[in-house]
Amino acid sequence: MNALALAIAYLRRRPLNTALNLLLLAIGVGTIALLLLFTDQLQKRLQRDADGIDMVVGAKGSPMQLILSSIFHVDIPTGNVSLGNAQTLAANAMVREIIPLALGDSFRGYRIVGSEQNYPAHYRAELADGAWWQEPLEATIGATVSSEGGLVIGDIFAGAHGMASGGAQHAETPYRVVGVMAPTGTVLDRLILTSIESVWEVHAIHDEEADAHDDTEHIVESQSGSGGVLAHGDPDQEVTALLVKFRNPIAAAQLPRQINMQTPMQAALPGYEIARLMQLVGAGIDGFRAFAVVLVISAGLGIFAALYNALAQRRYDIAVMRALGATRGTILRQILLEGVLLAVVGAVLGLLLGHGTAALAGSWLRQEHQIHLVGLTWVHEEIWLIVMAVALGAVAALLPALQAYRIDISKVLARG
Amino acid sequence: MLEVAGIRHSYQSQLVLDLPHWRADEGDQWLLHGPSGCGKSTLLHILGGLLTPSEGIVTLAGTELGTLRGAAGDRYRGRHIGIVFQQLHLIDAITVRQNLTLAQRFAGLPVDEARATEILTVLGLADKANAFPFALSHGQAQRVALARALINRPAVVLADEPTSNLDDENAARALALLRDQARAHGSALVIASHDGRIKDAFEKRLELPARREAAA
Repeated sequence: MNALALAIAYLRRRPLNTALNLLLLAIGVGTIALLLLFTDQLQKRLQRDADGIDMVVGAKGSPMQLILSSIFHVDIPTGNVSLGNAQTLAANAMVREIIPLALGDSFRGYRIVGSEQNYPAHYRAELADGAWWQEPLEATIGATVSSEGGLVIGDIFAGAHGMASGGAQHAETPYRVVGVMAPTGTVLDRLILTSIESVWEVHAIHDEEADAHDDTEHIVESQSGSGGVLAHGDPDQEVTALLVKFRNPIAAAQLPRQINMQTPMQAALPGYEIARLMQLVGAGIDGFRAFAVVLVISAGLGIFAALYNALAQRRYDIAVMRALGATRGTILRQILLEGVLLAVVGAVLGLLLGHGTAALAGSWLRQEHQIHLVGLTWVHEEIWLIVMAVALGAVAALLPALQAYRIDISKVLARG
Repeated sequence: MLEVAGIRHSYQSQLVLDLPHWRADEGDQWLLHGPSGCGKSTLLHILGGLLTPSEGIVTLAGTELGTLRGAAGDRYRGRHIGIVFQQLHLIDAITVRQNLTLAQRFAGLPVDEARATEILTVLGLADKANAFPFALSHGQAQRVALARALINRPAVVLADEPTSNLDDENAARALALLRDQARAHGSALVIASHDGRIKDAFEKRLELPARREAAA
């Protein structure tokens, strides 16, 4: 019968109260853990996807929307910009590299992105199987598109217009899967990559259908030789967005303003927009966190009340323990241990609850949205939740423990 | 072996106990007798080291209890003094066996499960080892309380009103058990009681005079 076993025995003597306090604490700690996991993973994900991209250029509109649509592929694009303007930008000395993107279609909710080889190269994507796209209407797909979307090499599929599944199909110009990328842990996993010319070709025929009888030649030559569309493309063609890498830091101060003022295009800085986004999300998270902290404090008060009330019934037990040889210190530690044990078990249950919810929510969010949340990961702040719980339990138990410490055994036993 | 000298104890400036000298030898069985409020419980608490007298000295097996401070006094009490309370005060949250091993641990002794089994068997409680105290009959609970007082083989066992609220037959049985077991363990026995029925069973009696308005 050691101290821990004795503490457990006493907690089990009041099961309802113990369960209630554990529940309260678990929900509070679980909520905080869930928020920690969510913000941490969201931030990491955003940073990983935007890593190395200094600026995004696209059609005028909301800079946040431009970032969301062209880096994270969650919002709809702001519009298109002419390739001519893009080519001018590419010639700027401050620009080291441009990744052009042509967006607009999707397949089963997975976006079809027309780009060049430097796009997967930017994310250090490697092929798991097959080859990179070469000819028009060849597609190389992300790992998730293959594992969850069910596409395999050799499959023929038609893109749907728009970003959600169910748009008008481009049935006349189906794509053929020629390669599958290995998982990268980035947005790339959920994309279908093809050449920009492919996207042009699909939409040229689409437009032709819309115009009924238009005989204009729309067969687009593959231009992805050296330099790609930015070197050789028809300046009258359009792309959706340009992911730009600067040659030096000064560019960050000059280029965006220059583009915004002097061209029909818009420049947005991912770092700034992500910070803004996290701030917006943060306001909501702070609200949840305050709620969770209130729960945790209530749990602390609950533990205090439980131990304090139990003390009235336990005076004799404590006096008897002292008579059996227990020191004042032993009794003090015993009551403190009970408070801390309750708090730690509550916190551990809370962490399990938080991670479980994260895993559950993650599997749901993955289907519904492009948010990837996993439960089987650890945020280092969580260790502080345990430390906090120990402190909470100790503080809650302190007054009852001191009262137990001061008990006059002879007086208590004389009364009994 | 157990000796008091010049004990006076006051409670709220009221003298409740005045015992110039008294002594019990090894294996002695004493009855502290007197009406309610005569200070016998107070004396029992003083003998058990639960209460420090206002004046006077208590010596147990050559150790003066008053010289042991704090934890040392608690440990000494746990090892050398066994107490059977009137209300028994078994700890309800834990099993009978755990009540016994807890007494070993609090006395600073290694937990000896075999010893716990042995004493439970001697007292006919072997099948109750894993029962909780609230599931015991009064007689069983009384035997557990006795087992707990004896498990560390104390020099002296103190019992407070062990026969109150018992009918004649049960009172005799409880008393016999207490005396037999104390003898078997080589412990001295000091019983505080106002029960007239048991008075004649003891050769060694300390009669305490009644006091008006006394506490305890």
